[in-house]
Amino acid sequence: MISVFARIVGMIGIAAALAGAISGTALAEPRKHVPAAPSASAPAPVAQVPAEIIVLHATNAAGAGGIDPRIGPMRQLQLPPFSAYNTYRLLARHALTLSASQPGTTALPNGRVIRTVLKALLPDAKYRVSASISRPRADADKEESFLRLLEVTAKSGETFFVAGQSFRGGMLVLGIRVGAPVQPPVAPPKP
Amino acid sequence: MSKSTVSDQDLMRWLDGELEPERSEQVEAELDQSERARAVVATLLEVRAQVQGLAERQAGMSLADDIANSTMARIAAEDAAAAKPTELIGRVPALAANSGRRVPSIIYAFGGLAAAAAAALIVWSIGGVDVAPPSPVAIAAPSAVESSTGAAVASADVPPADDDPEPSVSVDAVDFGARTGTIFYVPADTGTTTIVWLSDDESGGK
Repeated sequence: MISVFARIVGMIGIAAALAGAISGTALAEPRKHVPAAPSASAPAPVAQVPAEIIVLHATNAAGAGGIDPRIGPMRQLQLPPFSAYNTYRLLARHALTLSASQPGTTALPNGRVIRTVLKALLPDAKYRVSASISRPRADADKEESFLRLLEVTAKSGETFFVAGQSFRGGMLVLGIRVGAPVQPPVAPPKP
Repeated sequence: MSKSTVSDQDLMRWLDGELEPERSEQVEAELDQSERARAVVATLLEVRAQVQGLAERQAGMSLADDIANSTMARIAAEDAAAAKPTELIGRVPALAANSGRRVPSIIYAFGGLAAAAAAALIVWSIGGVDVAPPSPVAIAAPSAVESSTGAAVASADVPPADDDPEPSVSVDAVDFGARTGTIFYVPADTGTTTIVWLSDDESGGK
């Protein structure tokens, strides 16, 4: 009888494994990769949106270094990974207007260009924007694009960064903002 | 102690009603006297009941249980083979003593349980259940997927928003090409800042 019982337990285990595998696969939560393509319910792109690209030069200078006051308040420059450099200098500030029909092209100090495209206006004042960084067309076949494609969903006025381009003993940091700038919350005055 | 003239095969034939009346009486007399003979008959009855029960269950199963059904059929076939007179003669004493086949039976049981555990692991891995979500502020390493163009595209999950502010900028797709890249989510005055950081092997500046 023990033999029969043990066999039945074994068979129940195998059957449960197979049933679990089938049902579990069907019910499993999908992976959370964000789809690259916009969904069919995405709203139509807007006509024009103001944007700004700031170009910073990050270096490690002797001494304490510092952050160019023209950059403005940007606490994240003092945090990792930006804290790997102790000096940040503002090289350029480009104001541009993004539209769905016309990609924005901005020249960078290292000879590359950054192309930005407004893909769509989303609910809650968010934008879907794509960016790429490469050499100008004349040199396009001489170098792999630095950044083939970056597509983000950004709240209006928030800045995101693309860093890593080598430049004059340091690195370029590009800050891209779409929409009007957001003012950081101001703490109420203490009584 | 006189040697029995009733063999295991006689006992099996007696169970099947195949013996002559005179021989059948001899077997019954042997059963009255021999504990071993009774054990052999009991084992034969058990095997017969098991085979019959499996066959009935197999007939009653639905088509959805085909896999388990076929496995049960294999066991039934094995038991039927075990009931053959030539093998039974050697096996019955061990069965009666309940020791010879214990290990294989336990293997059946543990095999089933191990299969269940393995299937659960496979389901979890296929389903993409996030066992350990990334740290909210720490580096979010990109995970590669195939884009429609065949290029490697990395997408980073948005940090969990249980205790931390929602990232102001979420990365929908990024194609690093041949370069190495990382996506960082860094706390900022207005929430969380997104940083895409690529390696630049070539000399971009002069």
